[in-house]
Amino acid sequence: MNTSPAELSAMPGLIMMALLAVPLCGSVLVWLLPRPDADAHGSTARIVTIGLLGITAALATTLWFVVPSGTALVDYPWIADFGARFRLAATGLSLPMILLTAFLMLLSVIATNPTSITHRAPSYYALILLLTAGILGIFLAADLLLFYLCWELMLIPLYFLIGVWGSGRGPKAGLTFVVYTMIGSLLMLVAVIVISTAAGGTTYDVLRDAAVRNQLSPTTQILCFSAFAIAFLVKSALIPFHTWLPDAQSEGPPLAAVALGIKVGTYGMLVIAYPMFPLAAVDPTVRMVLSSLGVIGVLYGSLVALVQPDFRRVISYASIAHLGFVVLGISAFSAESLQGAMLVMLNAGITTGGMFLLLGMLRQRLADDRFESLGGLAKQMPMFGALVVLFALANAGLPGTNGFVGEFLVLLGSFNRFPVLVLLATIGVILAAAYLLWAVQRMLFGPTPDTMPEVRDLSGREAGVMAVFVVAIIGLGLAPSPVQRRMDESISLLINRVRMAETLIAPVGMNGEGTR
Amino acid sequence: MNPSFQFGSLDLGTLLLPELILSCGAMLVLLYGVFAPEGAASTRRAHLMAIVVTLVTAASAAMLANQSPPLGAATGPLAFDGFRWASVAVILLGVLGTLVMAMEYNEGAALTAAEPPALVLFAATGMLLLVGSRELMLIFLGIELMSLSIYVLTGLDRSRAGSAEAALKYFLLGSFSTGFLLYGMALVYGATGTTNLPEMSTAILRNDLAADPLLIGGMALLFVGFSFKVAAVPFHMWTPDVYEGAPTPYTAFMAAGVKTAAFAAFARILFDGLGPAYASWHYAAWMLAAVTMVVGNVLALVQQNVKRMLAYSSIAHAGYLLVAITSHSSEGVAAIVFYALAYTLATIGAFCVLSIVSGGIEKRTTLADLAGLSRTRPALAASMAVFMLSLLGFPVAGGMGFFAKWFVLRAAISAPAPQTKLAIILVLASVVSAAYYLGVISTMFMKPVDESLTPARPVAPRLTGGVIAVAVLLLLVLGVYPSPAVSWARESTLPMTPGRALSGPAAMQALAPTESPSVLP
Repeated sequence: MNTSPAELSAMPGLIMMALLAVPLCGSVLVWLLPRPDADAHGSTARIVTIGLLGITAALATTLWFVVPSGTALVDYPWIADFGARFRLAATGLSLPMILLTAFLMLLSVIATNPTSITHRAPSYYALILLLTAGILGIFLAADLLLFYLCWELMLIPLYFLIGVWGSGRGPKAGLTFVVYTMIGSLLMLVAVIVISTAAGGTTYDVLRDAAVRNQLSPTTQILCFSAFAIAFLVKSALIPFHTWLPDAQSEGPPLAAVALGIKVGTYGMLVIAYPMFPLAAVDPTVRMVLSSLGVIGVLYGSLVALVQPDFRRVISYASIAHLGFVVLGISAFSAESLQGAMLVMLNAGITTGGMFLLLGMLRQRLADDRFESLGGLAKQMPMFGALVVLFALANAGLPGTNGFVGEFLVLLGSFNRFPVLVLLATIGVILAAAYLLWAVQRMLFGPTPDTMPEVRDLSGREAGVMAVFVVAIIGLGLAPSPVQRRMDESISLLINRVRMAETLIAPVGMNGEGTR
Repeated sequence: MNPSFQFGSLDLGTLLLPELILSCGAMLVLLYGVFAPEGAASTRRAHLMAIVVTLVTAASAAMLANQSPPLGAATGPLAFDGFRWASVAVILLGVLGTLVMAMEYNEGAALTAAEPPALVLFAATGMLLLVGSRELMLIFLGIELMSLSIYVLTGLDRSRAGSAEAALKYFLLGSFSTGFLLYGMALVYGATGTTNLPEMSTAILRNDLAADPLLIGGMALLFVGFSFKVAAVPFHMWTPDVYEGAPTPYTAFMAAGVKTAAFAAFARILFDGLGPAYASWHYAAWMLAAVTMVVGNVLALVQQNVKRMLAYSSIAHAGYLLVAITSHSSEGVAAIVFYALAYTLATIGAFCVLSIVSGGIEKRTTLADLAGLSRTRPALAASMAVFMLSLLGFPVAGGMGFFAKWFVLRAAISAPAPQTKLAIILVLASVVSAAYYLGVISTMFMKPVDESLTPARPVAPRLTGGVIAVAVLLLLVLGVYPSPAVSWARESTLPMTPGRALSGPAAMQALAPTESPSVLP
């Protein structure tokens, strides 16, 4: 990324700082709020949290518009000894994710029924704010150490949210999630130290230049790339590192499931792993392994989704399949496939997020939401039924919804490089329609079991939240171009950087001088 | 040995000022115990006296640390370098925490006597001597002074069989290991003809002794002796029993102070004295580190008593510190100092929490006693969570612990001979440790209070609570902005003879003054 002083402008910088500061300070504030006994559901904390997240979302929206094109930057000295700087940046790749995160978190809090938080409500809301700060930090960071701190910071609130406010098996699911993620992230830590000692700093631009300047041998690049890839793909639950995800998403509160649906891992692939280790990125074996894992993910996720006992697990496996598309698109590394991958990341966040919130609302009304004890919900909850159908279609990638554009671009952009794999992945699209529609049919239609109690349809608050999702799904489905334009420049920069390193290093060998 | 005890502008009395203040203070506290009436009030006063003595010692050490090193200090029996002052600071921090905790704990456990604080001060004198001397005989003296005091502190609670058992075990095994240490020192002296560390490294280089069987035998025995003191596998068997049996404040003292002091001395002997023989001891340190990390963490997984679990975790941390030693670089020295600080803060804090939760009843330190702590005492539970995450090396929420691990990993990877494999073993062992550290957190936050247990006597935490608050604050602040601690650790240089002297020409190169990176002028 180019960091010429001319691009440093005060406004976006302040907004980026505020994007971190508001949820972070808010988290401490909410935790310290008085906890009167009369206010068992923490309505004060809830209102404050919604206010703060509203501010965060407004800031994210403003950032989208005030960052003209390219990047904006905040840069302060931090730990001189390690060459680490407190550096934030907003790029075409991070801006959509920042916007997504800010709005998803806000909507999730509004959607959650206040009476469902029966104990220690202020801590619950404080953790949500901390989680928001962590995720936003991942997208804003332009220094690898800062990125790593935010990456790990995200774990702790999720662990508590799943363990304390989840179902009975929550603590176990939370622990599995943390241990899985830590295996990857600690391997990543070793790689971070290896490259930062080689490059003499931890900011993204120093590290990206390290490969071009030939400070990293091809073997080091491949090993470090693998460490980063494992960390990122464990976190995004790619086959074979996926087993923690369905448990964490269905045992935790809906909000945790939504946060887990934000694909920070594949974002890391695009912003860190690929530009920092270009030789590994274009290595044919690495490509083959990644793309095959992606397609296996698509097929495996779809097939397993067919046999899940409840809708939440179906959506979990559907998101594993979505991730397969993202990985396929990234490993193909063409302009279209990368755009497609970014769009799938974004849209999967929206559709699975919305779906988990919807299913959370159902679970508020029915303790037992397995398919075998459900049926004919569409009659009792018509609005809920319509929304589930829409979200399922978006999830399956129906043209006109947001799910279509991304998957189509991935398949189109990857076809030249991996024709066979793309054909296989297309089967996944068909399977998606099958498992989603079958799930919809079992839940919404057919006879109602006698054991199922009467349920109310969505309340005004719930419907209002869902309306935002509907607008996003249809809006992004019909007109994805504003988002695409945002990403264009960053994606071509990424491709150029990898190509440049490839042409500079691979044939010439030792001559890495004078590249900048 | 230097025949005159005059080092340029400083005489021996000034060089030993902190140790002298400490030992005189300890004797004063003892005298006070003779004349003061028996009872809780005088116990309290004795502890306060000891705290004041510690603070004065810290001030004197700070004063000395700010002076420029005197002439001749580079070879004399007493070190005058950043490493000594940094280790002294960490040890005194641990002593302060222990004394405050013990003052309130001993009241609860009805251990009224003025001797325990005096013994803590004596042990601290030994520790200071241990980290400050560059002479094997003085190091041995320091170890003995420290160990004998700690043996007594372990068995302080005479009404409890566990305490006496722990003391006896520690004493017998400790004496046994001291024998190894002494024999090792004798062999090293036999091989090199000196007990002075800088002279020793010169002798090894000059006579090309790196592969001398006598020296290797001596080093092997030194390794056994020190491995026992720092609780490295396979010389760790005493640790869990002794940690569990000893009164909680003194367990904290053992975990924090003894470990820091023994590691500092070990590092000084290996880097300053035996540096040229790096090729000979490197593999032993490597294996010791790897086995210690893995075994410590795996055995900690199955512990139900938190003190026992922390004992195994302290074994694992000895392994992490051994990784820094294996790196044999100035980066490794800085890593040891930084790690010791983070580890001391987290360990003292965790034992403070345990001493409050158990209310002076030693049996009440199991995981079940911590269940539901977040409902009964949220602040205490949150602090314990910070300490656990810090020991786990988790960023931000665990604060400084993360940068401690980062520093050790950096030392291993940027070492002259990179220890990447060891770094990977370290991180994988840390993943195992996540399970039991998070187990404590999930017990406190995600389990209901165990109703079958009668609630422990409520203890008003007062000063111990203050220690906890300070530890949490320091850990968290230095976890976000570690630069002050990083530069402080960087200044703690240790004269080091380069260890790449593998054979003839390399040894000659190492002798050249330009090749040694961080020798003090």
